[in-house]
Amino acid sequence: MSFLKNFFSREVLIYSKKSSNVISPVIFFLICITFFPLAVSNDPNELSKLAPGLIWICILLAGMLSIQTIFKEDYDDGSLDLFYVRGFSMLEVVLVKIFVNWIFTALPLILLSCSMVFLLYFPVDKLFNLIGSLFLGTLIISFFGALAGALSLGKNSILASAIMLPLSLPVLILGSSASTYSNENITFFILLLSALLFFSVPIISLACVGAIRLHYE
Amino acid sequence: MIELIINNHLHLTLVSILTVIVLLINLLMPLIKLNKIKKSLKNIETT
Amino acid sequence: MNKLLDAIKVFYHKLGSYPWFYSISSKLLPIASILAFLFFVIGIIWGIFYSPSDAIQGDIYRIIYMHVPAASVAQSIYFALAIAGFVYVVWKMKMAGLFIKAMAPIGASFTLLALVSGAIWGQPTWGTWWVWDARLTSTLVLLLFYLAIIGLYSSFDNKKSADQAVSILAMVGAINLPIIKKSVDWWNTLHQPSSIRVFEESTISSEMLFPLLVCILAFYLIVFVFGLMAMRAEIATREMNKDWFKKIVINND
Repeated sequence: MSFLKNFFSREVLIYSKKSSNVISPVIFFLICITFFPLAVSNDPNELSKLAPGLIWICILLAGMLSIQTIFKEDYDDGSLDLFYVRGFSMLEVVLVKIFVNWIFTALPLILLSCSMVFLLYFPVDKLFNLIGSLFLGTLIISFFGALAGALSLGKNSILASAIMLPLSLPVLILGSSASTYSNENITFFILLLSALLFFSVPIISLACVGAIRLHYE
Repeated sequence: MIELIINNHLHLTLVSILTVIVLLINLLMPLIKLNKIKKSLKNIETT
Repeated sequence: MNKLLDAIKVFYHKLGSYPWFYSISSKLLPIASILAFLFFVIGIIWGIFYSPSDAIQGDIYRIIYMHVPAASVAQSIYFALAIAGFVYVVWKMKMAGLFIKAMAPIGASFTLLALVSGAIWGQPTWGTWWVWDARLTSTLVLLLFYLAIIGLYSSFDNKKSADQAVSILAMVGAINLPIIKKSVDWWNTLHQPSSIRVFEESTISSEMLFPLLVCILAFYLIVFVFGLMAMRAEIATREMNKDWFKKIVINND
């Protein structure tokens, strides 16, 4: 338990010291969102129709940026190597790293997407659906992203995205539908998304451990 | 009617050509790879 | 019963050895390729020249004799890759990793063939090259998975880590693929375009079904042959400096 606590505070310290990891997805997300109305249309009706899909795609693309940082720095400076050699439980390391990464890269985006009510005329009555589905969806995306990052450690970043994006397709479909369709169905989508989360957490984190291990064989 | 038939056969031919291309690529790639290695091994052996 | 189990065990251990596989596959290849060629020629000629033409679609429906086998083969190869990935991760059988490396490009090429032939078929029958239908979308995603596997494999220098990485990806992808399929299916019912009904429930007459079955069988045989050949080539690249391989090459001719 104390290891979890120490490791958690170490990770939090790293992210709070290095703000670029937190800020760059936010900047990317904002730029993407701003450019869509400029490229597509500024008609409020059309935009509010497109908004859920746009927000979800931008979240996914921003996630592409943030997954690079989950294991990469620790791999490059050799601390991941040390954790492995010293026999730390890699499962705990992976879980803590994913969770802290989610707190620092996905939570700001979720908060920011509230502002889409103004920017993209997102209907206010569906805001709760959007936020709920984003909470669950970004967690799942973080897990897939971590797996992609772990598999492609030390390789180019396009590869990680090519692995992560097809895997997160169900999240994109479920999430954007949850924020598009009526309020009565929200429990259905939330249930499906949480089922996906509970299903993928054990499998993906174990796969992550395996993926990290293969770099030290 | 004639136009329709020509049109249909064009599509069918196109798919057939594509199928043959895919089959040929899959057939030739490993053959070339294997022969290259065999040749280089034989060259080493004879010299 | 015990004898059978033992035989399977022995076969499994033999399967893990490159020299054994190389020699047995060289015996299997001629028979398999003759069979594959025969079935392919019979199926295609029967389908394209001797089966009746469709009442609604005319002759264009004959694309089915290449499209459906390609699509079926593409999915089966992915399934096989996932099983091989499982075998590699659990039992570290090196032949399983080699199998994934050899089969992934074949699977990708057949997926591409299924997609393109479907588009060429769709253009005259539905009036568009592409429809965002559930089946088409999930085939496209399948192609993305194949490409990810090929890309991941080629990014490693060390074959052992490459095998391990690709096995993990194939397994996770296989777990995810049904979920993707379900969600795409369900998404499709929400966005159903009203004008185009792509796959209507239809019964196929036996005169069309038999050549189709022959074609499907032929494609599976062809994939078997191609798989053997690709695996032999991959064995050669991995073992070209080993004595047993040199001996075979020099003794053969």
